[in-house]
Amino acid sequence: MPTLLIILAGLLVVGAGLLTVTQRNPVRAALCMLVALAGVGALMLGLRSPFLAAMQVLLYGGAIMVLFTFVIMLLTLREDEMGPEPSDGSKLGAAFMSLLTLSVLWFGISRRGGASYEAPRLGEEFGSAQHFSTFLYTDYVVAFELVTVLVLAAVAGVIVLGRSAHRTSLEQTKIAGPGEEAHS
Amino acid sequence: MNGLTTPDLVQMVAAALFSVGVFGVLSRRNLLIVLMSIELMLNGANLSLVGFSREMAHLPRGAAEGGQVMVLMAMAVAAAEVAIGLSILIALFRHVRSVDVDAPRATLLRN
Repeated sequence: MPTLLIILAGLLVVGAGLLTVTQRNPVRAALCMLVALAGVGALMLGLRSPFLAAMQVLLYGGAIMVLFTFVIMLLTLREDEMGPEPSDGSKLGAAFMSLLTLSVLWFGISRRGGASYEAPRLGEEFGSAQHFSTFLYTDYVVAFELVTVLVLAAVAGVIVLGRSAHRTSLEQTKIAGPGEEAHS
Repeated sequence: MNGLTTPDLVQMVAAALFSVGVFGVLSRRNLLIVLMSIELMLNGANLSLVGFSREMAHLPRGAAEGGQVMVLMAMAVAAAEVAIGLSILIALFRHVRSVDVDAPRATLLRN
């Protein structure tokens, strides 16, 4: 992947990420995050991982983004429900901490020597779905099965969280229902 | 910028994306945006893993593909995490009528 393209895509990703964390409106933040996720997908495509780029678009740009927009739509937040704007002091502290993280990471990256993208073994199949799934279903099949258990646990957790709230609201309606009022 | 190669640039983009996510988590009070920032951090880590996987592609069989499998696992974990996080957000909003993480009644999660 040409260096200029990486710089351009990187600027797009970081800029969209910065817009995501500074937008007040959640819908705009979600749209900016979509741009950042698409940029990361493009970078993955340039790094010879077409299958992961497709998964990035499908899972992040599709599934997770739909979840976010659905929740934004469900809540339809008013201005006072989003809380006040963070104070300048907390913003400054957060900027300092993130710049500290960035400088530590960049120091580590600049200190490692002589990384390059060599390509003697790279055939067309590297990163393809077939090559990828050969490894996924042989060497890493235990991890794959464990992830299915995790997703199952997540589904169960979402159902429990959604149901308990629903049940308490039902109980409240029952307490204040018309039958009870007629009785009292 | 002397001695800075293309793999280093990819890692720096990943580090910058991660730091942007850190800034969002630390500075924002809207729980939705905090969750989005966590997604950005996860994406930075994923991009870093893909970059390292591409660097090791010339090594013997199985060295580079491990990183790619790890990225797919991280994506699955991120999807599960967002589903749980957003349902917690909705449950909290039903009780508190606010998505502000510093709202007076939102602190009931802390103790």
